[in-house]
Amino acid sequence: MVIKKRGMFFTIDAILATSIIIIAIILASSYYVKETKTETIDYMGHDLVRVLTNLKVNEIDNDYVSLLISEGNITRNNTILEQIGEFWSEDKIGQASELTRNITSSLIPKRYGFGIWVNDELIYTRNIPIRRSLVSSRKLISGIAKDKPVEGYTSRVFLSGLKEKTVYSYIYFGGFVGNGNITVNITLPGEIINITEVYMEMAASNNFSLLINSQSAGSYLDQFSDDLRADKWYLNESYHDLLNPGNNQIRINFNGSPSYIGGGFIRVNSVTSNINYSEITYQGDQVIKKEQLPGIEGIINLYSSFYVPGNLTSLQAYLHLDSNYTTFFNVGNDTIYYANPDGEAFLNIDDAYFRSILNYNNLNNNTVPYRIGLAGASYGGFIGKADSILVTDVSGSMGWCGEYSIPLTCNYNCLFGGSKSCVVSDPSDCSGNVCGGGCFIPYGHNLDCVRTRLEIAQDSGKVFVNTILQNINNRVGLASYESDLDDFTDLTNNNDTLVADIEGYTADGGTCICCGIYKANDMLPHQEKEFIVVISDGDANYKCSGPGDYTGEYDSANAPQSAIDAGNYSCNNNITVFTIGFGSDISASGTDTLKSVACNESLYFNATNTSLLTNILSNISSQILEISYAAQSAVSTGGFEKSTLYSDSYIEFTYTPYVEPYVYGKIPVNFETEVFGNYISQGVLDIPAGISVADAKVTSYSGDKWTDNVTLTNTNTYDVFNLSSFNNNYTGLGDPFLVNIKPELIEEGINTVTVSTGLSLTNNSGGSPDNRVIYTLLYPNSLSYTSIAEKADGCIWSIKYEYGSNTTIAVPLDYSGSDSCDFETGVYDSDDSIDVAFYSLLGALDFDDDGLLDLNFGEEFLFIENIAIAGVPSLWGPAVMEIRVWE
Amino acid sequence: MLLISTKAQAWYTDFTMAMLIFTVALIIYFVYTTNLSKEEASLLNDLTSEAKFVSSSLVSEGYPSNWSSNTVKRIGLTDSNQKIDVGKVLNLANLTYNHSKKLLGTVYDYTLFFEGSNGTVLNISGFCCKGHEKTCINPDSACIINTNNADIDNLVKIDRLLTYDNATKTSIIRMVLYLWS
Repeated sequence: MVIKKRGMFFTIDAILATSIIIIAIILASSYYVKETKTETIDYMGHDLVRVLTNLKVNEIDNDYVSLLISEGNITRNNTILEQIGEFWSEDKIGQASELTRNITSSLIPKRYGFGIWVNDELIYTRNIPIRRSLVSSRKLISGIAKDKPVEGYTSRVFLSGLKEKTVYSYIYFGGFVGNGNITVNITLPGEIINITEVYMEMAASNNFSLLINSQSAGSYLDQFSDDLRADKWYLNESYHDLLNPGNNQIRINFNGSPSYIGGGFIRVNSVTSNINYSEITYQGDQVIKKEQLPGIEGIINLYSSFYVPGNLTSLQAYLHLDSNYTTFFNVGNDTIYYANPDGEAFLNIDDAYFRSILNYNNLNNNTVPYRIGLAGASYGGFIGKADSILVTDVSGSMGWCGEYSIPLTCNYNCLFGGSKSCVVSDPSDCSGNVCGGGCFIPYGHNLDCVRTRLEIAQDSGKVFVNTILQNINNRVGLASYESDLDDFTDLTNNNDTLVADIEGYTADGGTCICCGIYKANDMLPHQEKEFIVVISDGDANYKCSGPGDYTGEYDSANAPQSAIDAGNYSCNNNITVFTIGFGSDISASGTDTLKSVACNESLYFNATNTSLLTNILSNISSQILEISYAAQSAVSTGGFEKSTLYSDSYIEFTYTPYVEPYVYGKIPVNFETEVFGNYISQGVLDIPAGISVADAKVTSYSGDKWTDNVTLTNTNTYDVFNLSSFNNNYTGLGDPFLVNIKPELIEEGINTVTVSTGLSLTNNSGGSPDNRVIYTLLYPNSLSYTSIAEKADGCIWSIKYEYGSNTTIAVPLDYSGSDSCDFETGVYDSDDSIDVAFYSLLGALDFDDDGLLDLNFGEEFLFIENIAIAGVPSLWGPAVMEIRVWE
Repeated sequence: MLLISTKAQAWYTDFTMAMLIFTVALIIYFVYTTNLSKEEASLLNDLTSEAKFVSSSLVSEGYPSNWSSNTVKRIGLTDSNQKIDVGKVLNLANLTYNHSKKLLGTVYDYTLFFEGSNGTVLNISGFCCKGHEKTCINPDSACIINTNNADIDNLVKIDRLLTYDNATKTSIIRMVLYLWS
């Protein structure tokens, strides 16, 4: 088979040839793969940013940079990147581009593209088309902005000190200082240039003459009969010369009795050359504060307080007394001294003794009342006065039985014969089978009425009268009502008259509660502590047209509101109104009416069980009696020897302050708010934004009551002072005229302060319309540096003050140019950093933003310093520098 | 009578066999070369990653920051201002090549040298290059880099920019790193 062999050979040849081709291709492919090489540009942009950011123009070995420096085109030792940015900000794009090209062209391989942008504005690029990858790196450069100066002047103006300083020296009286002539010491700076003002504000009880350092300084009239009002006087300038540098004695001699001051202060404004003058004495980081006590010649009767604005570390007192009566000294609710000094005594009470009695932690950062007075038999000679009207319901229902014989027996016949009796508490209970068993047929009960409601009211009224008249200065009046005013008895302290009139009551007619209350109102003189006690056994069904109307008109729908109106009217007249719901016939709405008639709900009493009436009236009358004794005013009833507290007495305390009284870089400025102007008594303390409070105290003219509560309301409500935290019975407690508010409680903006006064925990009301807040704000004496401006020359400033005066000040003080600036109109050169700085500082001292400075100073009183720094980089930007590298 | 040509039949069979064999050979070829390419690509990626890692280490301070040949844990050639620290460069020169590879954390061969802005290899206090003996020739004096001498399959090159203080000024220079397998 020749043909078959030929085919086979051909196939073998093909296989061989194919194998050779495959092997050759494989070998060639392997060789080709081994040739792989690669380069990466991942880090090129990143490294370039890093290097140009770290390398400064003065360091780099580059001829072009050296040329730019030598020609003055580069003046600052910027980094390369900053320099490129600076050229860009100055719109020198050509120089920026050439600088970039010169430094980078040899660093980036020629085959790579490269470019740099500032805020997306191209500075330089190597124009090679992008074929493959592109990497980008960015860097923020601060201090540059297009067409803005990269450096200039920044200034700061600050008040470095006072050439002369106005010092406001205060002497405060306590809540009650009496009874007798009063002496106080006031310390003025040692180096007085002149005294600009002497202001007295006090609730004086009588006309008085004033002595300054034993020389007459005029006579002054008590302007208000209302103890809650403060009299205000500016001393005639002719008396200013009587005041000396250092310690001064001021004496108040009253023209008769009563003789006391129910709070107040004397303020002396003096200009001193001693710019470091301070009333505060430091001992290391501790402050020593001496509270000088007022001298009292007459009957020692002092109610006051002190405030420790920090951690109390030591407390001591020196009392110089002359008394033949038991004399006491209470701090808070603790008695520190209680003895009869038997004449003149010099009492030193040291810290160890105070510490053994007082818990100092309770005194820290707290207004602490203290009291010095005469006790025991001596004090018994001093009594107050209270007027009360007992308003009694004598309507027909008062004739109903109010008290049955006891036991009240209910009798029944039983269903299947016989009878049964059982004791019940009320006739209405005598029904059904209350006695049990099958005894459903009541045949009666003993209806022996012991006393009618009226008779109970009469007996209770006699107890009321007897109790109150235990104080011979107290007076009681009577008013009885039915469909109109039934009868009345004017205020008297004659017990027999009152009892006879009470016994004359008869029950008849409707219930006109308002008639009784309005009449009681008109019977009270509105001078002393006054009370109305209203008894009613039913719902009001007769109304009044208003105050002064006691006739009564039947209108059961509106009579309750008429009664409430009469009660509110009395409360608003500072009369304390008590109400008593008497008997079981009064409805729920009638009870609510009586609660609203009372000055507050705690003054309503429930005598549904008629037997309680006597106890309730007894308690109320006892309370009134206590209050009449508890008032602070002391009156000598004759034959009482004079006692004296000398004005060299003091309380001294050492403490670590919570808030530094004087803070570096801050100017303490004293302020007084306007008087509150209302009896609520509520006022507003408005704190400017960004200003801190160093000290704030509320004054409270409480008359012969106690300042018992002060609250502060801003975003929160704070109980700043609560006298009852020391004792619910105020009699032994001091009475603050000043209540300090912790600075940390006061917020920027509106802070509402409310003051209440009272005689006891349950007997309190508003306060004086003359209350105000005296406070110290810390204003910055400089602001931070201005932004960059082109120059720092200065200006001659015109400044107007809140009180009408004006001045011109050259800033800086050696400024000799002719530029004029005006703070009120805001005219100044905004390209001058000193002008900008001074304008900002004045703005910070213009507390109400009206262009008039509240802080009164002039060039002659003030050191003004300025710091102008040249070559300061701007804070513009930042600008974004971007470097892109691509293949 | 039906005439059938046996010659034509024989050629057709041969052609079919040849095409079959040729097709098989082509398939084998493409399978082989494709696999080879994938391996090479993977190796190149690995090399690139290691080159980046090694270069980043070299432009750092190293650890400890003041390392010497006795204390070195990680090699870095710059100071805290990211300028070349000549002392560290010379410390690297004193390390054996294999030890330096371990410290740089690479199993591949490398060569490291510095170039000025004009592309010439810099002699830094006697240091010209560090790396494989076939590429870094006479490292202390001649400053000859020959990447063609080595038996190189895959090679990655990375340039990093650094600053270098000469006598009075500071220059921007390139650090060139070759890594290959």
